Amino acid sequence: MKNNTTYDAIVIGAGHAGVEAGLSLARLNKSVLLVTLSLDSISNMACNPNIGGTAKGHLVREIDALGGQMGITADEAVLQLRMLNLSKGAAVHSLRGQEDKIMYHLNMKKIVENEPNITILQGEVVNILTADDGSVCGVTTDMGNTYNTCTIVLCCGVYLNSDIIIGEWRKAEGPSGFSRATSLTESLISHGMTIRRFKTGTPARVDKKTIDFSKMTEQMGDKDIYPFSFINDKSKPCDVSCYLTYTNENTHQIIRDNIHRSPLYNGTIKSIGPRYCPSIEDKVMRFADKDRHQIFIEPESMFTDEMYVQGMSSSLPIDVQLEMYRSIAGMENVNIMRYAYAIEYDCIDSTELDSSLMVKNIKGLFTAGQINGSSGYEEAAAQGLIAGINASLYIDKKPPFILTRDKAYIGVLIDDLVTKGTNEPYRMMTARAEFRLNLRQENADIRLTVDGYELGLVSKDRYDRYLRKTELIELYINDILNKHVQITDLTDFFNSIGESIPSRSLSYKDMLKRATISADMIMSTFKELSELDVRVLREVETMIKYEGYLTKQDASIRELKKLEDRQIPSDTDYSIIEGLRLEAKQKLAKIAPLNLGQASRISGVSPADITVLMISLFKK
Amino acid sequence: MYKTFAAIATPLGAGAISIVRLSGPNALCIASKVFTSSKLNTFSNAIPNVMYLGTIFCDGFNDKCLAVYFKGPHSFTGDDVVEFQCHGGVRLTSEVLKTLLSNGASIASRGEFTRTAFLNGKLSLSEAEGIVEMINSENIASLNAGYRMMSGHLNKSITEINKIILDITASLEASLDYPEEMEDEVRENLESSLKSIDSAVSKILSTAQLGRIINNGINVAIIGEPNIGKSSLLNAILGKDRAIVTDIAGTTRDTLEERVEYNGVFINFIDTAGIRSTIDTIEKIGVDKAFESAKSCDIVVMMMNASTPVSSIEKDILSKFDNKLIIKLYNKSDIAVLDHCVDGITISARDKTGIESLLAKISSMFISGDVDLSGDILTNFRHIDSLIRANTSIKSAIIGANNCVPSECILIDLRDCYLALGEITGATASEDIIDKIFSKFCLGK
Repeated sequence: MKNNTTYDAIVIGAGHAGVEAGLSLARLNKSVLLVTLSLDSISNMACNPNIGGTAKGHLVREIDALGGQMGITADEAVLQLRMLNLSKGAAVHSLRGQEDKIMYHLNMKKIVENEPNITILQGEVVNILTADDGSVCGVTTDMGNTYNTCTIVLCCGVYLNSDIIIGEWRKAEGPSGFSRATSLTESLISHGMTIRRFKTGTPARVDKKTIDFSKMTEQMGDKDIYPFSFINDKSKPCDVSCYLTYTNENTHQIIRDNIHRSPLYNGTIKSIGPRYCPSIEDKVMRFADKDRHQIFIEPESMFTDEMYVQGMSSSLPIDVQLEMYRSIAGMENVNIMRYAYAIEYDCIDSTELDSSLMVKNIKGLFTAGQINGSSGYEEAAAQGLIAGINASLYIDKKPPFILTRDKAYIGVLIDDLVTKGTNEPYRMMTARAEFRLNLRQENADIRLTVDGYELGLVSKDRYDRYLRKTELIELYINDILNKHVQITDLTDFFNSIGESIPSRSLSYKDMLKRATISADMIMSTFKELSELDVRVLREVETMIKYEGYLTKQDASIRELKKLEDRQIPSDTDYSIIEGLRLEAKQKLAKIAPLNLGQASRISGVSPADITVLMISLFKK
Repeated sequence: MYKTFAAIATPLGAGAISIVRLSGPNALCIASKVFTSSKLNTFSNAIPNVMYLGTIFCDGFNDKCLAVYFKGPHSFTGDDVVEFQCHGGVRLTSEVLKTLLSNGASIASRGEFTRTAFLNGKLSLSEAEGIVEMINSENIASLNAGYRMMSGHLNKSITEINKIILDITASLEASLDYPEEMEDEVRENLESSLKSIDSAVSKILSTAQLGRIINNGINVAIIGEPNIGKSSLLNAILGKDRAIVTDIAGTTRDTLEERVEYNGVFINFIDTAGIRSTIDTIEKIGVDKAFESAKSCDIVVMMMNASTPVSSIEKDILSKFDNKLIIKLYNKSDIAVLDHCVDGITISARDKTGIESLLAKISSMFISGDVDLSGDILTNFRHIDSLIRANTSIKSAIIGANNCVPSECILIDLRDCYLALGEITGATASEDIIDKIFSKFCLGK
């Protein structure tokens, strides 16, 4: 039966990117067709059962501040919360939640189903249709249906022509036993896109009942920490434990004896895998001097006994897998329920995208998530949200929403992908954010709520929370913390913390400048502070402690801004600019940077090229 | 642009005056740190377009000079500009520039004033297009063999330093991004590692002096009592009558500067007025200037009479140059040479004897043997500027490490240091760091 239906936008794929893209489009009043290969894979966490972690936690907070969904659902499905890097500065504190995968999937499915502007469809898109002018006009599915639209957000994850590889065994299928998409790659190639092949992998899932936890170290969560979403003041109760164990010399020997059977080492897998997500055989072979590697046992869900064995990703044959898993303390009798596997998949070259995540040569086609060569649920969700927002703006014929590197990790992520590209699955790291000190998870709302509100994704309630917080920050910094403390009160306080007593009276701000004095300490000591909002006060403390370094960073940001403010016309013909080196001409033409700042980050474009470009572009 | 930069605006070399130009948002602020005029309590109150006579404070000496403030956009570059008109001479001008750099200015890159002027709409395109040529010519200049050889060595040393920085950075970054996999021991040896970087940077920076000498020569002031033969010596060295020589004491009233080449090194001799207490105002200025020139020189040649004992005035003069490299030069050996002359060189300016040994002594004080180009010799102000900034950053990192400042803050200084050094070698931070993290540590799930 032929079925012609028209939508404002079609989102292909309902993973972490697709769901955010679909929800943001729908919430911006666009009619959306959300097509997925299986309704049972909506927001499937195909690898680790957690959300957040270093830099990724920051992404979740930013998604949340902009009005995205991930943070809220992650708070609902949380099993354990930890704040990483607490011993370091506030900019790198990172929230990570162990998540109930099944609950996460079901809750997210429900949210998408309840979104009136979204029509959900199980099926495989086999063709992207374009009009005579090259812009998107619709899709066809494997069952022969055609759907019309001017905007597509492609979020097909690792499903394009994916192969599961375990030892000598290879199967044409997607992750977690779901079927793969076989025709879309050809459609993309026919539209002139470059296709590359990446690889990633996942460890085995083992039966909880067959693990001896007494031989492992229990890892409990942290108490009293703020959850992902800014609209939740408190986390729901969550105290499920993880367990730590280690590989040993025996494990390593098993791997070395069988390395010739590893597809990574015998040449079966030629695609590029991520360095930050090495398989256990990679770790053992590349870091031969390490006598053990950490292994964390993490719960997948309260609805199953499957446990995730973090650190043991592998593509060795199943007999080797069983032997090496069973060589680990506490897993001597373990029963593997799903074997570890490597997966190869098609993805695009992200430098073919512009900063709004639209394919430069195909108007109306946006892409987000692993198809862009990134990895990780949070990276995918962040791109999905931005692609959805920009697809909506595209429909409304409005300028795109582009976050800069100094404003958000999301800005760093997308700028890296579209400007520098990536040669391996791209993972967000705090080291990639040169303005890291400003991009804290605790000020993501300060940085982004206004944007989300103006776009129309942030509710009035959330916006009011933001206003209250900024008012309090203002009040604390400019008023309350400027109060000076009597020297007698100071004496008691400094005695109690065992530090030498200052010779003159200090303001609260002066005290917070010291590394050894925290917001919590002064709040519990000085009565007039006891009623303050502790979360806001801690944020203010961070601002005070970082002040000198933030000033340094602001100077770099201003220099960047000066370049970013210089827009480059999209019709610039680099080939005729005199003085540009050939390599620079080619790179600039390919990336088509929006401004001089972006141009300066392209590899192969030198500072001298930028000067030449600047002069030739900004003639009066 | 947001940087404040400085450069010598007049041709480098001996001239009556040199202009050092400072442009950018902090121009006035930097100028008031180094320059005072009796007319103003601080130069930051300067009225635009008015010339002020005052003193510029350089490292180790002061000089009288004129300064004028042009308020942006009514200036050459369109930004705030301060120009210093100081006494000519390579050494002096370079020191003024160096002082501005160490007070927060950056060295202007080739064409930077012009480029800024262009960007601020002060120049037309045809005027600015010259910059493209300048960039090209700079690339050609860098192909010069000698330059390449020197910068090759420099690159190697800097690359070594950056390797250490990268190692430390990778450890710190890895522990931030992989807190569970990295043990927290990375900060244990941090301070000593940072100090080793600091000393390596300082060591290269200290060769800036030698580099300048190779480019610009050794500055030598000839001082002494009037009529001792200073001008005769200059003429003898030059083999021509450059300085006016008479029997009248106090003939030389201004300083004269002349250059000779000896063993491939330029020696810039500065003839000064004879030092005595004088009532002649013009001569007095000359005497003051003699002291100033001498203080800013690399070497002071104190000329005395070989045939008479050292006078009390001479002892007094000598005591004023305790901290300088000083050569005692005894003239008039044709008359007599007294025993005390063994602590110096004896010459006869009239007979032109002993000149060779003076030149040999001067050059040997700076260069042992032939000029050695194989080490790291900083001759380029841009390199010096990068190293000064690297030095500032690494020192700030050491203070941070000392005071338990969190790693992510120390990393800001380390990155600045890496980038400053990278300006010399062409290294960039971001990907280098990430590559290093994964090659060095076993990380990831």
